[in-house]
Amino acid sequence: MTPTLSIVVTGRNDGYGGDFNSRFTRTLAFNHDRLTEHGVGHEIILVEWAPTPDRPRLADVVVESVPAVRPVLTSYVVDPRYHEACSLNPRLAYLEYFAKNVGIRRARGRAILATNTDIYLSRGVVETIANTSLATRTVYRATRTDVKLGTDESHVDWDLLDDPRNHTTYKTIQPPLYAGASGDFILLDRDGFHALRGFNEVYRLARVGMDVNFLVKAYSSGFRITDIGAPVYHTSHVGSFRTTKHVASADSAEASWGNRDWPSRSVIYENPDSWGLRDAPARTLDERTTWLDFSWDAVPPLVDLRRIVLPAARVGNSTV
Amino acid sequence: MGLLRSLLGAVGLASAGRARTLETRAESADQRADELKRAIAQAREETTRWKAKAKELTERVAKAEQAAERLPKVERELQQWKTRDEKHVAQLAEVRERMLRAERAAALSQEHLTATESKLDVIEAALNVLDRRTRRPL
Repeated sequence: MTPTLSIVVTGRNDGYGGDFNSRFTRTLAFNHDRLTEHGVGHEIILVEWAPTPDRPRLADVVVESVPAVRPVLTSYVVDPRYHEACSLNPRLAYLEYFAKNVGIRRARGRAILATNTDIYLSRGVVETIANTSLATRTVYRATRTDVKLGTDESHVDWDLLDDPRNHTTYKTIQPPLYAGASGDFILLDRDGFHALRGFNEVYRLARVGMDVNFLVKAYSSGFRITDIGAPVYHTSHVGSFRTTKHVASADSAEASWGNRDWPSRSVIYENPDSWGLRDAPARTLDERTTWLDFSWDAVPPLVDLRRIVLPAARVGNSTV
Repeated sequence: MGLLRSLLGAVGLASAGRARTLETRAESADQRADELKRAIAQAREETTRWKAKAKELTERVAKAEQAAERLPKVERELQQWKTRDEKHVAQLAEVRERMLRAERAAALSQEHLTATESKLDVIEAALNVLDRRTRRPL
């Protein structure tokens, strides 16, 4: 049966940002429980990009910690050689949006939510997904509210998340793009994601800005972008872009985010038809895990300049 | 009574009553004469004012006539200014349009430059990747 929603996240068992696994399993369990309570049929697509070889796979860690997600969890483990073959920035440690494309390409839900592993869905977001028919060719965005670093999240519920005393900052979002912490919440119908061919796979030098670049691409392609009307909550942690963007060393910033100065609002992309490692040979490891074997056939060319294009202006907004 | 008056009249005299009557009439005549004098003075002043006014009006008429004589020339000059102004407005509109076109061209060039820089980033990055791959097996 086609799920209403596919949640696509990416991560690996490498302790990113300190205590990554606990943060991820906590938000995953919370979101799964809330969606289940509201009768939203969903699947969770976890893409483990270039996993650390000597550690357990993240999907196994998740299922062990949160057995309830076992029936809805699908994991794609991407051979580490893809990172080296695809990256155009040797210092960039993670091709986050390339990884998300792997999941988006293979997601089955009518709508796909590309989000992060440290995001709690709010009551309003879950109720909107549960009770309304989401429009097609419409990118839904949500304001992100940061939950204080150090807040006791051992028993998270919506009352705790909604309490302003537990908030530090929030990212307001404005038309036309509704950008701002966009990687935390991009919800779009599956056909829409496929029409846009996912996130940018041509300019593979950066991680930061890829999310807003997708919004520019969507806007340029005539898609509507709107605020879903409720926030998502981001659990603050050491190493997140918000907490460390001004203090990270040049090397660690480059490793985390890549080239931060690239013109993500001015230049867009036209991914090849094989986006999302379409041609990667798939090998089933167990009932929920698929390994994507390395093949040069699946690797996009290093340079494909005709796929770097300018966005089209839209009526009422000469620029974005 | 009549005889008395005749007799007095014959010697050049008049009766007291007659004398009073004449005196009263003489006073009235004096008053009338004063009034007439004042009226004449006023009339003179009025005449002077009207003369001044007439002179002023005459001058104004003369000026108006002069202006009327110059009117066709002024109209011609005005028309020339109007024509010149219209030409300037048209030139201004054209310059503005050219500036807008130049702005659009500059913006487009900037966009293409940004795209080209991005392409160069990709090319440079790809060359570095290839360089690393080439060096590794050696």
